[in-house]
Order: sequence, then C-alpha cells, then structure tokens
Amino acid sequence: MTDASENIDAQTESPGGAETLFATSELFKGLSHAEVREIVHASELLTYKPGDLLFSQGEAAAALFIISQGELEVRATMPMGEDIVLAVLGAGTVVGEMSLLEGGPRSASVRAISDCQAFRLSREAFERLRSERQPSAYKIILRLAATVGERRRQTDARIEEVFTDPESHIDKFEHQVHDMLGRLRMS
Amino acid sequence: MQSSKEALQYASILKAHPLFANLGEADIDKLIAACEPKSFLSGEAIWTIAQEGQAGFLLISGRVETTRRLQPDGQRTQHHSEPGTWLALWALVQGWPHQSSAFALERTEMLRLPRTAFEQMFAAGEPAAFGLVDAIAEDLVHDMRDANRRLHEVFGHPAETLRTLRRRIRTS
Repeated sequence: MTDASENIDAQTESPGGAETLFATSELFKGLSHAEVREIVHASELLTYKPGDLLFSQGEAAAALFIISQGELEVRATMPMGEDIVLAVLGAGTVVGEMSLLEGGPRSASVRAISDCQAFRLSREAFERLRSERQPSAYKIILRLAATVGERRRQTDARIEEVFTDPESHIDKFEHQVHDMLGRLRMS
Repeated sequence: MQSSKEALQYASILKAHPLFANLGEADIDKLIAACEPKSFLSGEAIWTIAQEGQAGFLLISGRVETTRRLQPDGQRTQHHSEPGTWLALWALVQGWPHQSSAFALERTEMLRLPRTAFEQMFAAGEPAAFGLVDAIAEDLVHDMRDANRRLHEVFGHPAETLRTLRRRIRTS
C-alpha cells in the first residue's frame, strides 16, 4: 500500500523530503514526526511553469503554500496604481500563513519565475484537522500566533518610534520611501 | 480556594462562551481549577504597559478599562463589562510586554490563568486548552486586520505620512 506522503516523496524524488521540508519550517517546529506526517497528508503537491500564478492580489485567501523547489516573485499593485516587486522567494519559504485562519483578500500576487513545486495546505483541510481537535492544527495556530505576534509588535514599535520622535526618524522613513520608489522603477 | 457556589458561577459564565459551550463539565472544571480568582478595587491596575504578560484574564463581574496607544490612530480606550470576556489572551502564547494598561472601573472579579498552567493543559490535550487556542486565533485575525489597516495608512500613502511627520516636527 502506498500512502499520500510516499506519493509526494516519489514526486519530489526525495524519500522523506516532504516531511523534512515541513519539519524545518519555523511554522511547523514543535510538531512530532507523526504530526508533521499528518500535515503532509493534508497537503497537495502542485507543479508550476514560469509565469504561472499561485494566487492573485485581491482574491480570497484559501491556502498556505510551502515552496519545495524553484523561485517565485511576489508582486503588488500600490494604491496609486504602480506595480512593485516585493520579494523573490525560494525553496523552504512559507507563503500566506494567515490564510489558514481567515479568507481575507490577498495583499499581493505570487507568480512562478522558474519551474516550481509547492505544497498547498488549504484552509478547508486545516479546518478539518481543527474540527477533529488534532493537536497538530492547534500547535500550528500557537506557532502562528507567536511568529505573527512578534512581527506585528516589531512593526508597531517601528511606527511608534517614527511618530513619537519624527525629527530623528524622518530621514530613515524618507529613505525607505525612496527605496520603495527605486524598486518601483526597476520593476 | 473557590466555594462550590463560585465554581458554579464560573462554569456558567464559561459555558456561555461559544468556544466553550460544547465542553463537558469535567473539562470546564479543569479550566477553572487551573485559574486563580482575583478581585480588583475600583481604580486598581490589573496590568500596566511594559509589564511582562504572564496570564490571560477572564472577566467574571465588574468593569475594566484598557488603554493603548497605537500609531497613527493615537490613544485607544475600550471598556469591558460582559462576563465571559477574555483579556490578554496573547500572554498565553508568549511573555511579551503588555502594550496596554488595564484598570478596574469598579470592584471587579476575574479569573487569572497563568501561561504555565495553560501550557500544562495544552500538553495534556485538554479540550479547554484547545478552546482557548481557538479564542487566540480569533484575536490574532482581528489584530492582523487592524495592523494591516494601520500599515496601509502609514506606508500606502508615503507622501501624506511625510507631510504629517513634517507638520509634527514644526509644531513640536
């Protein structure tokens, strides 16, 4: 009998590769071997050609992606209508963690820029694990709360600094804006 | 030590919360046993800004005011009086410093759940701990929406933000 993770391993041409990929990601740290396997089972491996979209800005978020191989580009259209490349992502990167909890609009588009493989963990599959009270799903939520919470606090602190002492930080803020505009011209 | 009358009151408040409504009596009792009852006089601090968050709080009775300064919105004050409201749930995730202060506006009764007790319940697979994680997930979604809106206000309109900052420098 061949189980889902063995199928995935065969496709990724690396025995246990899928589980290793998940286990080394920050989001899945703290999960036991069996729990990682459970998450791999709940995911599907997808293949993308250069130019293929994983998702588009504005569409309802429905899944998290873990890049297994290849490179992807994150692009967003700014409020004034400019298109900007925000980042280039490689293997091991997790995209769209918050979509496991909410289906709000995607803040950016993600497109393959080389031949890519990525695991897709849908919110539907994740909610199934939650409704079965599987500890794996609850450990992921706590991990997500820790990483997203930390990120939000750092951002809050940076914004607070700029607003409470604008004289000391306005040059840095202006530099960030110019850097953003520079990337805009390059894209 | 809680009297059986108090324990019944706590249980009925917890059961009224949708995330705990399906829990069995024994599961609710375990959660109550993990908490310590705390009374606060009017004007007494429940926590203060920058204090390390070590526990989540469940409002049993009374009224609580939380105050937080968030840019670019400024000061945000909220009043909580609904029994069964959980406050500072993020402190069950990590010992971050409080970004808000909380004061009792009248005599207030709360249940304090230390993070260590929550961690033990979670490790033991207690259903009440999973209910608390569901509540943390709800708070996380709400927090992220709010943070994204504020980020969009600051970085989505950089020229406007720069004008605001220059105006603040001129008037300071």
